[in-house]
Amino acid sequence: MALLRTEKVCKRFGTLEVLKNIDMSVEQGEVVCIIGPSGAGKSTFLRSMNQLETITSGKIFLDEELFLHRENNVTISRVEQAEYKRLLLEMGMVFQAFNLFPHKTALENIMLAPINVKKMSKADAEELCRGLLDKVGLAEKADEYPIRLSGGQQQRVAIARALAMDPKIMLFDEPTSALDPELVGEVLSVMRSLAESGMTMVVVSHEMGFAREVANHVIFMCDGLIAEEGPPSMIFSAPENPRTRQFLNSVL
Amino acid sequence: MSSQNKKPARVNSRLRVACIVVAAILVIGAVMALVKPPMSDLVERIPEEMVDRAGANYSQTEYNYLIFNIARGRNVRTAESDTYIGIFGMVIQINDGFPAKLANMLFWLPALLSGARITISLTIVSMLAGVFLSVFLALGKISKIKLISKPCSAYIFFFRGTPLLMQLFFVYYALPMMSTALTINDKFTAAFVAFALNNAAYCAEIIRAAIQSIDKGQFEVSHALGLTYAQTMRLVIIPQSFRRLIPPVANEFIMVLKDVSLVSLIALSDLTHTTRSINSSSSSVLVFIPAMIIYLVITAFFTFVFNRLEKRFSVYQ
Ligand SMILES: Nc1ncnc2c1ncn2[C@@H]1O[C@H](COP(=O)(O)OP(=O)(O)OP(=O)(O)O)[C@@H](O)[C@H]1O
Ligand SMILES: [Mg+2]
Repeated sequence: MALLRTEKVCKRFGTLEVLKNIDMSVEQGEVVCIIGPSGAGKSTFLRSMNQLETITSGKIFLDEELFLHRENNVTISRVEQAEYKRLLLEMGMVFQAFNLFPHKTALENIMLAPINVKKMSKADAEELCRGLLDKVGLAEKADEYPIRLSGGQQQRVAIARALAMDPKIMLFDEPTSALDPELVGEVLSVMRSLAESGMTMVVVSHEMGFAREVANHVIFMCDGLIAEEGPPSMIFSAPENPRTRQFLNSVL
Repeated sequence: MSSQNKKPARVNSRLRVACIVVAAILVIGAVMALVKPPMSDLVERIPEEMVDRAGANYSQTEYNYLIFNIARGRNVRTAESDTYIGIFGMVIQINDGFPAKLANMLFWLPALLSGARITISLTIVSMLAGVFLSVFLALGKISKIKLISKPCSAYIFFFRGTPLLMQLFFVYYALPMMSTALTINDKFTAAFVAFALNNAAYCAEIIRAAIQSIDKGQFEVSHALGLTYAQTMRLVIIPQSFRRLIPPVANEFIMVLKDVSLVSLIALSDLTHTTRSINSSSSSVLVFIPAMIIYLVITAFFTFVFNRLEKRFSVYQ
């Protein structure tokens, strides 16, 4: 069963067409990596999934339920409000810039949403969140403010924060691009163990090693189109599209 | 935590010197307070002819300060005066020169301080009310709903675009003529209303700028975590803008402190109005010196308070 599926998703900024008829389907437990040159529309696509951008036209399905259907910038149908909120929370998002709350400690960052959105009790939230901090290897940093954490640690806190809402699918937008090279590894290993634990993930990344080893499915996006897709073995060793070959040559 | 351990020894010795100085001043003050002659001794020295007991111009004044007391008799018709200071068990008469001028300033001090009390309380209450209102105005102005943002923008435009003095006159003189329901008889309340409304407009702009300076990623991650707009503002954006708000709000506070002097034009006896009346009744310009010193002391005090606040809110920066 597809957890997340899109049909003919288009997005325009003014006259600039950023996404052109994107069809994608993510199965339960699958790790999908989206690669592609800068400006291909990868971020825009991820952001359209959890409604940080509003698509121009197309359909988005979550749990095989029609979540949103728009044509020509007009909403044709959308799930009713309570369901909309619930489905939005099925997607957790990790940003390139971490976006931790600077005025909250690591633990408070993670606890904020469970307490205020899920109305969890403080004690329950603290137990859950300390467990998550432990999972990303930062149990002893619970009371540090983000400013005192390294980039890699901040991104791990951000991952734990997204996990605290118990999402079914995690969206990563270049989670390691803002990091110093020596800090990339710690974040990737957290993501790897997350994938191994069966989390469904959509990862936009320039880390080809991660895509090759962890992904089940790789999508090469270019100029707002899916230029080529398939299992990593195929994309990385025998790409068919010359654009894919050209891109891989430039990054590998 | 670490800064406490790293405190250099020099700071500690400086602290000890400061403690010794303060203790010495306190001891000297206590001694001076105990040995100063009683008020009646001073008052009895004032010659009978100095004291004009006719009508309202009774002009024998006396003040008791902690470490000295001071009494003055003044003949209103001849404008002659006698001033006595009781200090360290002695009674000293001073009638001219610098000591007399200083004594005069001390005579004005109680009136000036009660003026200062009005200035400070008007500043604080109108600032509090203004900041409270301004949060709603700022949120209203950045709202996407035109029906909310347009009136808020208009309000801000109006109050920033017309003179404060005109707004004060409007509240105090014009409103009562328009409707009895809008009549504000008490000068302090009228001034409070005008200043709070005006303040709200300025603070709203400060708050709007602070909110809009917060990284857009904070809104995005709040959305991704399922926070509502109100929760995002209350839990994420406004707390972060606090520290950025403090310097401009402190600045605004000090502006208001001085703008409050406009109330002397509706004859509310704030510090400026009191200074002006002492100036005209005593025909001495010296009163401006203690008055301005009082303004400076108030400003310095609040600047200190706001600096401390800013430090407190920057733990995470
Ligand atoms: N809010 C916006 N308004 C106008 N144009 C935008 C906006 N956001 C993105 N774009 C444009 O859409 C195109 C795709 O942007 P997007 O950020 O999705 O690319 P990307 O594939 O994520 O690239 P990168 O690898 O650099 O992150 C770019 O040309 C960009 O300039
Ligand atoms: Mg991007």
